[in-house]
Amino acid sequence: MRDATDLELLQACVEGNRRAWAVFVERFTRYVWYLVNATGRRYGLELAEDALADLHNDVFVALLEDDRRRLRQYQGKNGASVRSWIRVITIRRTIDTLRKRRGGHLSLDVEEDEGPRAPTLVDTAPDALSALLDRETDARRDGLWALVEQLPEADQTLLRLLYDQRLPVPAACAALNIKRGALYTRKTRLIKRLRALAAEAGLIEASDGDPP
Amino acid sequence: MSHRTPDEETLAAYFEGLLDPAEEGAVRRALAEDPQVAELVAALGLMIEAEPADALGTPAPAYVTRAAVDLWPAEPVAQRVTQGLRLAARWIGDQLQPLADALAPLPQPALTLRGAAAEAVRGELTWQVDLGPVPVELTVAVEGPGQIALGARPLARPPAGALLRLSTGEHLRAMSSLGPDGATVSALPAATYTLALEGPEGELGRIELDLSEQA
Repeated sequence: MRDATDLELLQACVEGNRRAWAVFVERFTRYVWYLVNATGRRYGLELAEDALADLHNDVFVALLEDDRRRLRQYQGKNGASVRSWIRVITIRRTIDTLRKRRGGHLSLDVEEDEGPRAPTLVDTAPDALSALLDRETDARRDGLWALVEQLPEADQTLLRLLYDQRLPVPAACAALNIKRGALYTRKTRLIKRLRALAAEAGLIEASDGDPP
Repeated sequence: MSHRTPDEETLAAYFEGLLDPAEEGAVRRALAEDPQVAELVAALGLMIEAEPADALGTPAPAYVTRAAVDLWPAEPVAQRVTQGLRLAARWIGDQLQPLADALAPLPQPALTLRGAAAEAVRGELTWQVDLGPVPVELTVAVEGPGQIALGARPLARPPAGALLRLSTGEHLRAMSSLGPDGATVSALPAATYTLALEGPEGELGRIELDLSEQA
């Protein structure tokens, strides 16, 4: 049983093999312990051992609850590994639990370098868009978001994350699974494009850098 | 909101770059529309970035791991074994009855069990049970009409001096030391047995085995 692959172990657990469960737990306990600890730190929390123990075992409870529903659901679709699946379950479950315990107050501990809360949205030129997004009337802001919807979906997502959901840049990069340099490049291009659209729509005055 | 919250397997595949464009687009739509999804996915991404390739720090304390292992739903051991052995006995009854009849021409074989052979598989003749702290693999086989062989093999090192005691009611039927190779008791008539594991300090655990006749 100890030589079984992760997937073989999981399937044996689904079939009700208690020994497989013991091996499964022993195989992933260290990783889950690491993840709950790291998740706490990511949210700026230093968790005591008893809290870590609760969170650790809560993950395994999640796998077994409802007659092993989660274990049964794993299909190996897309080729995602059992380990990465366990990682998602652990982090999601830990965030949910921590949020409940803290009355919903939980925020990612991310250093914001030039984040969206900074006063300038665009790297160059007067930041009329930022002003619109942050301070203008709902009607004009809605008009700007209507322009955003003309952009390709992937670009809309980036702008939504940065300027609607206000994710810090490092968090947005992580969510989009892209490098920071790539995000800045895209952001600059998008702002230029959006500024042009806004100027055409009469929401802002055209600047020198905008296309005619 | 028009998105569906991505399931955990989809998110795992997302970060491994394994989604097709349509699936990836669905994840990104969920990101754009739902702050909670965005936060979760951001947290995942940040932690994946920071995850060390090998050393994961200190392991979980042993008591924590043990507690997680023990989360497996407990079943009454005697009941589980009884049900398992009944199923096996029915299988044996169907499969081996002709052989059993030939071995000993008793007027009425002690095992006259029928019915579940179509559903049973050979693996059901082996069970894993816990005798106190020692996981044990039990096997059962029919040697003849009403005569059953019961094997017990430890799956972990038993305590030094461990003894297996098989009894029916107050009557001791067999006793054997339990070494790494296990022990087998043969020629058991159909009955209800108690199998107990004893250590130097006393009994460590016991289970009930129902090998009685079934209708």
